[in-house]
Amino acid sequence: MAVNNIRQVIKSRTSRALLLSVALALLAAWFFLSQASQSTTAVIRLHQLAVEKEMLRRENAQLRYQISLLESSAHLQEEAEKMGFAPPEDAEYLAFDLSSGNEIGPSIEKELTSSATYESPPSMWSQIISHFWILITGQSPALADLGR
Amino acid sequence: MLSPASPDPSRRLVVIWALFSVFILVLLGRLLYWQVLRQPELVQLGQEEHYLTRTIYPQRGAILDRQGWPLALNLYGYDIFASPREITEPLEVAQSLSMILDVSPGDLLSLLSIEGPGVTLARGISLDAGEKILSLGLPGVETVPLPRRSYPEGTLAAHVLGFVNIDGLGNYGVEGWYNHLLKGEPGSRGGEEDPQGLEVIAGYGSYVPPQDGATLILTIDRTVQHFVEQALEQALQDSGADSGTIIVMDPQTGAILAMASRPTYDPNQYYETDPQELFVNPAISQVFEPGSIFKIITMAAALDTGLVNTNSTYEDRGTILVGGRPIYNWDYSARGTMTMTELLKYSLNVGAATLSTRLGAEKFYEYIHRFGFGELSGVDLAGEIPGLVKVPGDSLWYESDLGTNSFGQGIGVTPLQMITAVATVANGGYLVQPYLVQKIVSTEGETLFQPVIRRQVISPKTAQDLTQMLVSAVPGETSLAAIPGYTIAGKTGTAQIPIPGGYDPVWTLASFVGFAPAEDPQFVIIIKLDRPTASPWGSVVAAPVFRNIARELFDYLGIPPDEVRLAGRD
Repeated sequence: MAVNNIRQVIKSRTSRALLLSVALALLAAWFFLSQASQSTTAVIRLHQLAVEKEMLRRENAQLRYQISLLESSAHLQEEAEKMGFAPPEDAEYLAFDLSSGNEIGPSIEKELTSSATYESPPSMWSQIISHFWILITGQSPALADLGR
Repeated sequence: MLSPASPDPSRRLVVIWALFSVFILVLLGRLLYWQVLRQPELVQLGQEEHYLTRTIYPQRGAILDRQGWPLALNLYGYDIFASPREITEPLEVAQSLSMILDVSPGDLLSLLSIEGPGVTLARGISLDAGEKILSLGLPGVETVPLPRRSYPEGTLAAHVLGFVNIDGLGNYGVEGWYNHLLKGEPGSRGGEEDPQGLEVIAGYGSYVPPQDGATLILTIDRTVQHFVEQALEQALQDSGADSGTIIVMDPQTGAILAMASRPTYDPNQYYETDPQELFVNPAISQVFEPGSIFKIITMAAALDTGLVNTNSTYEDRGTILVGGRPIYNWDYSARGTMTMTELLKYSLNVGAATLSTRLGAEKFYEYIHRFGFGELSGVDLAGEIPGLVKVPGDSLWYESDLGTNSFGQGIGVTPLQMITAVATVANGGYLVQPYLVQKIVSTEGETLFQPVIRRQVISPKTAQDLTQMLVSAVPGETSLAAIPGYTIAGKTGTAQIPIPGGYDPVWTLASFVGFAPAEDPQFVIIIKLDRPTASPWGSVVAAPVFRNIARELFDYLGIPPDEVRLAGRD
């Protein structure tokens, strides 16, 4: 009797262990297959992308070539002539005497200086209006103007 | 009891054992041979059976002008191949392809009937057509994409660019000279294939990326090149010349802005070019006798050695005997007392020969070599030749050559050598190395070319004096080169064409070389027209071409007239 019980226990343990190992093997197989499937999918996708990249590279080269044809000097000249443009005949150059008081640099500087001095400090009224504007709109008048 | 004749069993065993051992040794030896000694080879054979390596072609580097406009690009085309054995319905395939390839079904059918592993149906067809064929999925028809070189500007600067042949090898011009940089390095993609030869995508594979070629940025300005080529076409039409060359160079750096020759070819269809001599760039690969433009060199030598100065005079008797050979002026005139400026102004051969003989052969040829004649200029173009300069001691040199060489006869120079020599006068006396590529952009970074000064040939004072003399010469015989408002230094040339036994009695080479603005030269131009019919003289047919190009350059480069430019200098 006791021997039978022992056999029973061993049998059930063996069958459990067997079941467990089968389950583990299935799990491992599932993990492996799943991983293999994922990597295969990724490889296929990569392959597709490489092919796509190659196609795009070719199309890009084609487009660059078409653009360069349209921008070629012969084509531009043809188009310009169609639009009524003609080569310049005699260009006229204007001379500026840079050594006199009418120099471009200093005169611009003068204008800037004069315009800066022309702007007088904000008056009391303008300050009040400005503060009022900020109170209503929550932003400075310049920003408010930009927002319109 | 065993009979004495019966063999010893132990001996028999030994024999069997020995035989067995030999057999085992032979077996081991064969195993060693196949499994160890020939293992790598067999492994490779095994892999090749199911492993496919595909070449990935690199993109050849682009060639751009100095502003970044493309002059040479890559385009993909398809080569179409067929394996007749694998095609079960050849008529159907021929009909499907005939519309796309624009070839009659009959021609295609005859190709598809050829016995053999494969036939080429078409090469270099367009991307669209190739992809249409690809989408048809015809069994036994293979489409192979291949990069193809394209030149969007057509014939523009063809001699400068060269071309790329069907094997991807650069020929002539920049394509030839810089082929090693432009071509790049091919990559590869390897992978396993199934028994049908189809790629096993998920199998073991390898990938070596291709390295694209470097991009070259030239000194050529396509706008300048365009109007120089137009001016050359017009000049050939007006003068009746059968060929010609024009070069525009920055004299300060040696950068070539334009280089054009006619007749030319289309590098997009180089294979249709006939004759193939058209591939040769006459600007660097053909010599010509420069004629009177060479008097600039003679005068430079005379001034630089101190033999003469700007105020020196000589007595022009209309002829001079050098080495027993009489030399005459082009118009057979005898002009009496002439200044050095007048020598250039009236282009007097007797004056030039007087200078060279007074200089002596040693000094005269020393200057010729210092100006870069008889040697390569070092330009970065394939096919340059050094020219032909005979010197004392050469079997073909005669004493009379000292006289004739002084006015550009009996000496062979290339147009590039001539313009480089005149650039020396324009830039204050320095021989610069002409160049065409100013920047190389590769995966390793950018390489910027700096101008190279090869040597000082003449003093700045000589260069200045000679420039002044050339300026004074322009209103005379070269008046057709003059542009109102600008000071131009220049010289015309009319050279006879050597033929076996002498010179051609009819045809000439008309030329002009000049630079502007004279006091601060921004460009040098050389014009050479071969065998003009309208007039034989350089002053008549070549000088106006200089004027037309210089006028365009003044506008394009924004160079105002002297009055405006020099207004604030004093």
